[in-house]
Amino acid sequence: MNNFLPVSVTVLIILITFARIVQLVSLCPSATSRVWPWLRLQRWWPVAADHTAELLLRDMLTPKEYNQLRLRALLEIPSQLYPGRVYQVPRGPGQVMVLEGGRVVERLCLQPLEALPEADVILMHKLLLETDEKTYLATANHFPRPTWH
Amino acid sequence: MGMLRVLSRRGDDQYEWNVSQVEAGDQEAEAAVREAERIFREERARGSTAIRVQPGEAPQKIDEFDPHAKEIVMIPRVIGG
Repeated sequence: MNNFLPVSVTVLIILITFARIVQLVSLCPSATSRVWPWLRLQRWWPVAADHTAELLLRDMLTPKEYNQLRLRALLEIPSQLYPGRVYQVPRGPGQVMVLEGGRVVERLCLQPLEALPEADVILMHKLLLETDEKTYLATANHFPRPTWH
Repeated sequence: MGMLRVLSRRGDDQYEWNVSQVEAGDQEAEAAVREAERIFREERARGSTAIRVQPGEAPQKIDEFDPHAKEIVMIPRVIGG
């Protein structure tokens, strides 16, 4: 009994420290955008929907696009209607940023009616913007640029 | 081979068919195409967007089922958030 208590306390401290490290890493987008997708690509990943969606996203994007998403946690899609405009689709929750001349001019919010895995949402934005940008812009809610941009 | 991918909360549901077997008159292959077409129409009626994705080509929005497409991705109805 005397030995058990210190051991259990040590294990508890290790677990709390590990959880805290995971929590801190999760707050950093550039870390999560590399770690979670890599984990989801593994066959043993327990959530089949996330695994399937990540595989599909990797297959649909060019290596350059997928690398950009991995390194910057966002995917840049050039506008086909407005020269010089770029849409930045974030990995994870957040709005799509509209950039013109390198500056954010507005934010867009568009979501599927049915919940989709994170990777499928990125693919959704990409395909809709590339095939029917006009309808995308007409459907999305538009918000002014944030003051810090 | 053609494939219909319906994006959903499960990732994506996949339906495959073989065009060359359909052209050769294979009944199972014909049934697979009909099933894919039925799902396509059902999803379109629910407001989904269909996009044809061909290797080396820009993705293209389509309104009618294309059995010769390499891959068709169906995106559920979207709304402004």
